[in-house]
Amino acid sequence: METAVLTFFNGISYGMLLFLIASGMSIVMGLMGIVNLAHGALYMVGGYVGWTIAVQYDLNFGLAVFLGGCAGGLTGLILERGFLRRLYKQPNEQVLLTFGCIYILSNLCMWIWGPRRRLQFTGEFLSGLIHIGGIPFPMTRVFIIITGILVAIGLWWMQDRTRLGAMVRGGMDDKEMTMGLGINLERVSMLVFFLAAFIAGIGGVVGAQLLGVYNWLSTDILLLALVVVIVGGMGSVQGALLGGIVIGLIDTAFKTLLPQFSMFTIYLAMIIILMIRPSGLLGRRV
Amino acid sequence: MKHKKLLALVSGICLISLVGVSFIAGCAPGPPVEEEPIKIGAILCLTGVVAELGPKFRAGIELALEEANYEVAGRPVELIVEDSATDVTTAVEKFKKLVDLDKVHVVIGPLMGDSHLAMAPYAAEKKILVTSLINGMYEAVQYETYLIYPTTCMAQTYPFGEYCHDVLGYDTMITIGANYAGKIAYANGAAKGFEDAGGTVVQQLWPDVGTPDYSPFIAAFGEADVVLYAMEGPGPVSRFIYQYREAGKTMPLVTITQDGDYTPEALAELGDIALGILGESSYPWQLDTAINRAFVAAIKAKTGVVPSCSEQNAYTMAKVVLAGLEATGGDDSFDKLWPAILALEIDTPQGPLSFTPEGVAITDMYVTQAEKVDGEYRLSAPIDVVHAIRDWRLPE
Repeated sequence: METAVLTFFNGISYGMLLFLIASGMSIVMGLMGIVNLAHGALYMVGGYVGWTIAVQYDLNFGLAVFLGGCAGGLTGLILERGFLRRLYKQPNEQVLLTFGCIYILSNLCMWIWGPRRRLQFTGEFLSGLIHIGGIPFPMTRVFIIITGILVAIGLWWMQDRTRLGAMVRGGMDDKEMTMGLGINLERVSMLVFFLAAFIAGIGGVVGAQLLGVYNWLSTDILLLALVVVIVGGMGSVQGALLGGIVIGLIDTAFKTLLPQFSMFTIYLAMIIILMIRPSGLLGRRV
Repeated sequence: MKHKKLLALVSGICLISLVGVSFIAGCAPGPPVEEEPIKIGAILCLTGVVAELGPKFRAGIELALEEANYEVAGRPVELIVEDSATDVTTAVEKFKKLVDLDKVHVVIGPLMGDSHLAMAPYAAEKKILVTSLINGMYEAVQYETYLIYPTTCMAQTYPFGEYCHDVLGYDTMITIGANYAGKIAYANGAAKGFEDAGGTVVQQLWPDVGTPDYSPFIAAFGEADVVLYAMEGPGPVSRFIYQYREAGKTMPLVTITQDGDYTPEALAELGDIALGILGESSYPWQLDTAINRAFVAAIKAKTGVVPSCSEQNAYTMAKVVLAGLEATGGDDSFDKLWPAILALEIDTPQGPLSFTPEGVAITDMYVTQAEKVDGEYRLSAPIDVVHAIRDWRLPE
């Protein structure tokens, strides 16, 4: 029983981490039509900056999360303003450019922080375990789950309940009409891209509690993020959340129960889901 | 008629003069011809999963060459370093580049056993002498172009498995090791030693290389007296220990290749959670010998930190190659260099070193643990030692 509960808990926390990684990518891909393969690199930059704040300077972990988010957001902003805004609706060029950015950002991080992997870190208040019904739950994982829920609520509210969300959705459906209404769509796009990169940066620090930070993290993360986005459905916060949880639970359950098959289970799950729903669990129907 | 004779005479004189001048010119001393350098290739993991180890290997090789002033048997030595990216395909490509383009006859590295297995047929075909960096695959021994150092993976950890049963008193064991050839061999070596000594291995788990979250595997652990882990490098090792402690598990941990994984930097970040974990080490830097003290001081001066087995192994392998080249008078062809190296008996920072006829090193194995002394986290001096271990599967 304890193993089943722990597996479920580990799966949910891992799924929430996947959601934090993939949500920004899903929004940018689905709402703005930008394939940003460097999204994992923004996650990595956030993680490194968070490590510098929390471990190197021994400052508050909350501050590390915030500044990690800012670092990811600013790097994303440079990427969007400097390059991607010239490549709207050119997916091939976007893929090539952002894939190249992965190498550039990874090597920049290696120059700044060196090749050594930075170990897991967390705040003092998050160390230790809480026991529920005699079963130990690490506080770091509880924190990941709470952060994931808060980000999911915030993004859903922004997407479905705010003027900004309406402008973004309007821009995607009919760009000319939206601009004809006097909406500065370029500024809206910039804001959305910054927000997505900011969440990636936050995810980098929150995720470092489990994974640490290292300079090829961006490519490790990229594959997982793509799987979550595809399974959940592009452009949907709820889809990214559901995709993250489904993949997290499947991956964790198979590693626990049938570890010999765990290498390919998430890809198998992706194939089956796409056969049933080609646009993902909550994506727009193809 | 007279003209014809005169023409023949002049032509003859010209021809003789030309030949004579050419001969004299050929005999005259010209500018000195520089001796061709001996090229030594090194394939190191400078990027990828264990990128932190690459610079350590490089420092060890460079130190050995600096001590020789980049010269052996009167010939200059050139080191050509390639990055394996900790990837089998890349390692094989770089190996072919070193062999075909750079024309090297000796290659140090790469680290991963899978890469060695992939490179071995080509190395045998081209007669290239290859050295491992941290142990090597038994399957590579058959090609007889490989120097396996400190010994094969399974032989390295077999005595530690026995130690866990006979000395530490454990009867049941769980092993968890990264799912690639090298670490599978390490874990299986310890498991075999443990079972041959009378213990029982109750569970074996193989997470993939680069597994981000070990908690599902940790949750799947059954009950045993001890857990032996064998992850792919300092980072994954640290992540595993961290997540194991975080999960509240209390079974004691033991490990293999502790000296390679417990780098000073990793230990400092791990802090108290690694204290007391016993492990197998091929090279504890605190070995109290004159040659080791000098080596530790030299590495510390070069890198700022005490050496792990990464620096030591790379240093010793470079020293072995240089000693072999010295013995052949600078001839780096495989047929001369291979027997010259196998005949070596030298003292190294790790201890005495010799080779079996198959090219497998015969070295000592140590038991160590993480400790904290005066606020500093470090690998302990040897707690125990097994002298001159050799692969039990090789012919006597």
